[in-house]
Amino acid sequence: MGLEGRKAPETGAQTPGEVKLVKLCKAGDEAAREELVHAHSGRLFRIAYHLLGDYETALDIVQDSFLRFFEGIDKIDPKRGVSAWLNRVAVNLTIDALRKKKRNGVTLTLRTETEGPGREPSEISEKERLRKDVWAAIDKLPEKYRVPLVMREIERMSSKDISKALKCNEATARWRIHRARRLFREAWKEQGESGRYLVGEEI
Amino acid sequence: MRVRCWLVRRALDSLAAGEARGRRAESLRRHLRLCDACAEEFRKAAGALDALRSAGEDVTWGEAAAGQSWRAIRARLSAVPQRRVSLRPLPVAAAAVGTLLIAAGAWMAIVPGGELERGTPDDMADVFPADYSAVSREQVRVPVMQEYSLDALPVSYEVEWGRF
Repeated sequence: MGLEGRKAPETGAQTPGEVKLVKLCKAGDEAAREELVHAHSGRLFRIAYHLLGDYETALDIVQDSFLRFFEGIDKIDPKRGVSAWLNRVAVNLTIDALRKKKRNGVTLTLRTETEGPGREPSEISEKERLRKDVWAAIDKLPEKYRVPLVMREIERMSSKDISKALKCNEATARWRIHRARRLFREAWKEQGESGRYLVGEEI
Repeated sequence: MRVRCWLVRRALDSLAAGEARGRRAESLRRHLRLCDACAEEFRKAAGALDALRSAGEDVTWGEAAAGQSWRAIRARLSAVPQRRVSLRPLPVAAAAVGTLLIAAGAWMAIVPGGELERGTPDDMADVFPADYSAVSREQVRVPVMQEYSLDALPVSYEVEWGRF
């Protein structure tokens, strides 16, 4: 099977600008730190949010990741990817949060913006319902497949970056993505959501 | 190249994700045009992937959220770290008991009238008066140590000590 890597932007590649930014952060430059937070926080939030389905916890994970980064910045080699380092920390924190929640028996529910105590179910838009269904299907996946699936399909990260974040080799990351897609398809089918995508000229 | 259904089913997800390319992808697509069952499976695979991707697109992270996060991070970074003094109960208790014992010992040694008061050798005679002693002073004869060699130790010496 010709599994050719999709040309996704490699977030792990360290640009000269980022090397300079890290050096400035080491020197205690607040503006550089803020720039770094602005550049990477969105990606970290989306990864955490889609894995956890919890807005507040995802925000905490973003903050904790950056705190760990700034506290240990002296030990970080600026030539190595900042993104890869942050991704790995965020993924590890997210996995910890997932395990903690499951251990405590907390049922994970995806909170949407329009959903609230005073809202009727009919008010929830179709998109939000779709998101909830998708998340429910993702939640059925084992942890080792869920993480690469979200990183690849939602965050559009390259296999190389995923392998760095998961601390495994690239072939393993690709295999997990492949397997995760199949498992997600089966979970999605179980939920009765199928046939939305019509076969057109693509085949 | 003719491909079998089982091979197509295995490659469905990568084809739907756009990762199968070249001649392989062409042959897979050709098979899907001919086989309705595989085409249906492809539809489902592509539908699931499409739903997954579109669900991810809705989550937006604006500049305001990033700014808010930065303010929270800066506040936590500049917060003075709380000094944590952790006392372990067992070492603390051991240290306290030890200090008390040393203090008690020092008090008994220094303060007159304490039970462990020490005196001169003459005073010790009062502590152990002759009336109460197991042996009289006459009976206690400290043998005068002479220079004996171990080989030439007199037999009577051993007997005497044994009897005593």
